[in-house]
Amino acid sequence: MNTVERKGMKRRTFLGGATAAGIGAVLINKGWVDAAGFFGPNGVDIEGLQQAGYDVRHTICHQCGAACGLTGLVKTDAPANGDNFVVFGNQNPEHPQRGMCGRGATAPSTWNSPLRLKKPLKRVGERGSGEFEEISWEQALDEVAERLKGVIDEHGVRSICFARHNFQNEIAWLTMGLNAPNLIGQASTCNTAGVVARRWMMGGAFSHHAVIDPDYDNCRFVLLPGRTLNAPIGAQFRLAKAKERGARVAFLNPAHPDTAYGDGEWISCVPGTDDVFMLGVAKVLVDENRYDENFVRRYTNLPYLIKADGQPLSEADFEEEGDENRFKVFNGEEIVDHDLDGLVPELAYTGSVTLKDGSEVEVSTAWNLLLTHLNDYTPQRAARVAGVPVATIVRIARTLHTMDGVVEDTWYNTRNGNDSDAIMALMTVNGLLGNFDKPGGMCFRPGHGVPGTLSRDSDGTIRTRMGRELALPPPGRRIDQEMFPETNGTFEAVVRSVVDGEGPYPIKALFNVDATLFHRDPNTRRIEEMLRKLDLVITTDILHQEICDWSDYVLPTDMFLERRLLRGVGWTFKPTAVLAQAVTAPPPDADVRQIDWVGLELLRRIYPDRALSLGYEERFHAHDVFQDEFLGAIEDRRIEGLAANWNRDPAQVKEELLREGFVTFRDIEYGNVPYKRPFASPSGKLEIYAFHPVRRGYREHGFARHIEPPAFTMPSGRREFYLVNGKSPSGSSAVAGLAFSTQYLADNSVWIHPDDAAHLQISDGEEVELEGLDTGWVAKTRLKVTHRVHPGTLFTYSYVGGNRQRILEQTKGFEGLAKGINPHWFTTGWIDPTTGSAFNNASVRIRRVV
Amino acid sequence: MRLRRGQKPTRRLAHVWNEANCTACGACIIACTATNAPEMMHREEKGWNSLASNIRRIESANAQGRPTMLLNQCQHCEDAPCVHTCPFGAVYYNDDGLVAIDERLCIGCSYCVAACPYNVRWMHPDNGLPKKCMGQACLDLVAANQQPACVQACPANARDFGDLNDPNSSVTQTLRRLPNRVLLEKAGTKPKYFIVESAS
Repeated sequence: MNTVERKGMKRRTFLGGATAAGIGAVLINKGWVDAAGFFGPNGVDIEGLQQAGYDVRHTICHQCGAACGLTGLVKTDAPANGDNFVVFGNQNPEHPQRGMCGRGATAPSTWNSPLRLKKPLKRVGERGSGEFEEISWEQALDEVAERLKGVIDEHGVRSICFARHNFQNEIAWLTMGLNAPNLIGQASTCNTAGVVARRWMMGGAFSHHAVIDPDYDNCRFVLLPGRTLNAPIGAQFRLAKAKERGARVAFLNPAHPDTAYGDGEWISCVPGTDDVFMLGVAKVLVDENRYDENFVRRYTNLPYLIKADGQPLSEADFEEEGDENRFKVFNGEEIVDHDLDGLVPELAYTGSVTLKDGSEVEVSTAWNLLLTHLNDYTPQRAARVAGVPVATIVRIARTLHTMDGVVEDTWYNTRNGNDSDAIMALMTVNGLLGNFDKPGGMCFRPGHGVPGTLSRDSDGTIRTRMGRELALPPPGRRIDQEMFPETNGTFEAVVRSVVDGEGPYPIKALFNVDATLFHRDPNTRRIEEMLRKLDLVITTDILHQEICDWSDYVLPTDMFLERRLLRGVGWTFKPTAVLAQAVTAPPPDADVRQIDWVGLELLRRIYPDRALSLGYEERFHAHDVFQDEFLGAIEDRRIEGLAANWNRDPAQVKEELLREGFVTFRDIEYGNVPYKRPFASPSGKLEIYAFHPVRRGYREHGFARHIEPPAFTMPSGRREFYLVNGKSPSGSSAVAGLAFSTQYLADNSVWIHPDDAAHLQISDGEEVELEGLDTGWVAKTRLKVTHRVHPGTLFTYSYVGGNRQRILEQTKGFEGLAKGINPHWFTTGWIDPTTGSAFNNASVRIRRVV
Repeated sequence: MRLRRGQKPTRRLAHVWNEANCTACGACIIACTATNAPEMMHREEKGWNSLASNIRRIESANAQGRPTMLLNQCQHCEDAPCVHTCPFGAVYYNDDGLVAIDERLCIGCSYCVAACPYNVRWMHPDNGLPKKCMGQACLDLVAANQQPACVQACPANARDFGDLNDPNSSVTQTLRRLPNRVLLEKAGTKPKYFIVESAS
């Protein structure tokens, strides 16, 4: 296909066909009748539309972290009053991750929400009081910079912690410019367990939750343990198409996911038992010879020899300078190196070897050890522990095998403290099935080729995309990595530093970059204690989150509808870049700024020379000049790099990015990993027996195993329950959680099973008291009696209840957001000492309210 | 255009909801409000204690205790009790076979609310008049040969809208191909809100 043809086709059809109507609601609702003439059965006349004063602007949704493709239509000559734009799902079926769920649909009401932060705020009451005065940006930036400088001078820059969930690139101007090591992502309550498990089994390059995923376009059967799949919405769209072709889907979850309404099987289970369920499935696969022996022998480390102490046998066991990553296997005749060309090692072998020190040890293949290990996980035992029928485990195993199915590898997965084992167990099942990088199998996201804005050399030198340099020494390791070496982001390290005095050095200041601590980090009481003790708390955000009430300064930032962003697309196997455009200006009374600008303005006040070295000149102090010229030049340079990476013309790439919102550089390619490109694990294989944690002494053996949730006291007795939470596609995110509609569409009650309600003589809608077994936190809430939750378990949607910011009392119609509970009132703050993973579940006692 | 008594509609427009594809994300519910009652985006519909949408989500369980969810809305019945009941002739069939409300004739007596066996109306707090699917904005969309807002918003191929008289329409073909049902069939209202029960 040549470029001209592609351009012409998309120009007429991106809003066309059956989905041309996608724009229709816009026209009617807004009274933009004059635009209607540009929409016809064969597509849309974009140039005519533009000449009539309308513009189509593609963007990506940030109402949660999935970044789905949206499109805005804006009346360019109208004031930014909310009537000047609408947004809807990107209608181009070639977009690999398009669509709008209930959270995305709240974006316009977020834009002009009464909870929108519109001016910089300075605290005037006690922390937590929510008492502020509005101040100017100049005053805010001057005072924040002075306070930050004071902390740096007294305690060093490492005593400042920047907490973020997204926006690490945007705040990097400040963190890198300050040479601050502590930019900590709030991953530990989100994806850490999965990231660490995937890293242990497949290596760092395959650890991210968006790197490996089922090929939904072609899937036949997908089991989703602990995953609702209510984001990204593009995956749901593709799954819907697959279901129309006969694909099936099952959810293993203590609570019924909304997505399961869509013809999905819900397997109700006891919380914290995904691991034992999956190991029971593995047992069936092995016992019934339903595994892919060829894959297991060639591409997993199950043929590798393991010594009696659990360590892998390697060349280092035989030679003084031997390579510990040259592992040993049995080829049917003798023990040989694992990496010999054409070698297909034996699975079953047990024998003895003489090591370099003369000792003789017994060795067995990991396969033999796995067979013994799985004897502890019969379907009968797994069923008993997980609270599911034996027949379900057997049926799921057989279905996975006969339908060439896969087990989804989860995203938001830190729940009970044993979650890394759950991910390892499901990857064990995937390894036995051997369904990798094939149509309908577990496939791998290729690099999208979008260059970054800032980079850092090993000597610490910072380089910008514009070729500017700032020579600084390496900043050192983050404090959470010092305390939890395997973690990808554990904010609890900061809490321990401040509250308990633990860690290598004290944290004195906290800078929240659109980070909602109360809904994301465990043990609210300790979070509050930390906030009281800190010398300085600064928060940027778009809405008045609960953390704002505890901040000394609140800096209002722009939302995705108001800014540009170039990035790669996650959760797709087609390398794709997206360019989000600003759909509209901020509301007229909202004096909000971009995070990058805030960071550079603070940097220039603290270290003017460093800001200048990064290219931040005086003229960029004007926010619009900064956006157009500073960021605009960087965007152009990044597009040039992107085009060069794919051997494309930069002007053409930019034009397509603006016109369509995205560029896909090639189609999916199957058959690469692990067949042509090995995994990044020590062995290069899928390590069903994970070597890294065994070598580090974290574990006695490398298999997934089941342990009772260590993160909270196990409930016992009729009044004690697990308290679990999950996400609603209608409101569970930091931003959408404060939308008006969330009060009604994302139920903020606590669910209880009808049998439990009957035992306790509780009726639907009754108000009860919940008391945390570990934290002692007591809260009143309304119970909903429903079959959507496993017996012995309570469930509530995360983010949609228990908001305590004072502004809710003063904002008519939004009071309902304060109802319900925040699950983290009851969580303990326990951290897995090896992975750094936190958790989101807890245990509570129910008391009736008299 | 309003049908006269005994007159047949030129089209029989119908909603199709595929419950097997629906992931309960709520986008259609919000899109309905944003399109038909944007003034209610930050206001509660007190009658239902809900968002002011013409679509309501109803959760229940089947006889086996499995969770079920229904998106309920006006069924655009071909023998609609609300049309028969309205003392003022404000509720009528249009020539697309849709049940519509002429607000110029409506006094807000709520007889239609009581008569509807599907319980789908809500009362607008500003003028006290009943609201239901389809709102005026969606009727305008249909008049402009566009799909209603809920269909446009759905990210999971769970909603469709079209003419039952057209053998080539997507709704006709879907209903011919896949198992489906209507609500309260025995009530004799001849509803035109079809619930498809299978994705394939």
